[in-house]
Amino acid sequence: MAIRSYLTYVSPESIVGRLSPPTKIFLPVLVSFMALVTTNLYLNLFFLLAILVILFMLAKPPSAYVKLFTGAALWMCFVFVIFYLFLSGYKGNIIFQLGPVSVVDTSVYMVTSIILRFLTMTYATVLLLCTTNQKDIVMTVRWLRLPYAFSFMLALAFRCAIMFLEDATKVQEAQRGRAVEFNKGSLIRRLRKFIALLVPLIVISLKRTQTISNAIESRAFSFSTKKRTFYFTLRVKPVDYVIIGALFAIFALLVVSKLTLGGFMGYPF
Amino acid sequence: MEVETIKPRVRPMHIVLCAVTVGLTSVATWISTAFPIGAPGISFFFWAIGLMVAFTMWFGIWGAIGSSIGAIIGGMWGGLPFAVALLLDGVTDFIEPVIPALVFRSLALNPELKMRRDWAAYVVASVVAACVGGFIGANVEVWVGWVPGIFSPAFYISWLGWAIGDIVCFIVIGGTLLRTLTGFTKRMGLYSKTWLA
Repeated sequence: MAIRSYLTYVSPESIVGRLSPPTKIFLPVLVSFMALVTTNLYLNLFFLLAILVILFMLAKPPSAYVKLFTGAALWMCFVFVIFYLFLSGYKGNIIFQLGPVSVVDTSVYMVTSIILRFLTMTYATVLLLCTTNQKDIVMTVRWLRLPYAFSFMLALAFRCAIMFLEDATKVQEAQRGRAVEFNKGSLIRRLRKFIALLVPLIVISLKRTQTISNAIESRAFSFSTKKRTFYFTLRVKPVDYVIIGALFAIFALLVVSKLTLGGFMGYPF
Repeated sequence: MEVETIKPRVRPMHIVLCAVTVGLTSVATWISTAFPIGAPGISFFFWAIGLMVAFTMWFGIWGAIGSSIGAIIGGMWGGLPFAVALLLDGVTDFIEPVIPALVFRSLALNPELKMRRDWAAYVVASVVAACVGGFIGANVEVWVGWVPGIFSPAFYISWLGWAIGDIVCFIVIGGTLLRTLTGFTKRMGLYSKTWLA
């Protein structure tokens, strides 16, 4: 049976699906940071290929969601091209000139590097969203031995986000039942209708806050309980420790290399 | 007769308030990313900031922390890479709503915005907060490489785009929420008198 991630249902039989929650979270997060600290073109290309292989061959998310993020990423890449080629003010050897507008080699190198880094980080985020669910994140927070208040807050926050969307649909339908047309009118009128939608939504959420608070406080709920037991416990296999350890080692190596080697890891100018 | 004043203390309710703030602001941030201005990761109608400032005014530090975490989650749902969402939204969406809240708490102004003095302070604080947030955000974008160099033409597009989009939402959305719902939060016992409780 497929398992529910943030974005979609994915097969737990995939290689990434079988990894423990901490590995599924640390893998895309650390690859994302690796891409962020690396400015070398070839390393960026390697990271992009690596994340694409992991995403498409080992995680296998439905293509509709990948297409959705790819569309947004391509728009951003277009913005990077405009920014770097025409609005950067970089100096270098002119490759192309049309009147006052000129494109220099430095800008081309930079924009290629930025696009590779950005695509790596975007697909790493897709991997994170397609392979993890709320429970994975909350259990990883507990596994990291962060304060219980934090994992409780996160679990409740994810639930609240879903309830907020459901409430928004209900309030919108109720307003439509009163002949409110959200897609018609001037910008000011639309803004007023939007606020008329927002205020009851926040009131509902605040009332729910009080209900939840009263419910947990009436059960003598406390965050300071020393020995807390959980219904679900996380089992992390040795292979997961090896993967997480290797990822941290590579990330540390990249940071140290960037600080010491400079040009090799950075831009060649 | 001596009247004993009870010192406000942090209760589980504050963690619940933080969670609700994360839930609401994450969805708001996600929807806000549907209005891009052209500068990477910046929305021309970032209405989530209106919610964030209201929550920080009402719930103190819990609202600010919730806004920051909510912005990271919502940014990711909207297509921002995790590492960038952490640096860009996590930092700026913590600082921005804190500035007006800091002004109101230090000058003992009323967030219900009933008097002209309160409105004027709110507008000034909002403009300052949006400009500071925009400057930090544009600098983070330079640092991650999305904008080519500080004080390049692209830097100003990012900074101004961010600031103007936020100022409108601060005043229109945040101002309306504060005016209409501050009394409600006080009556419900959800309003934090200090930063913590």
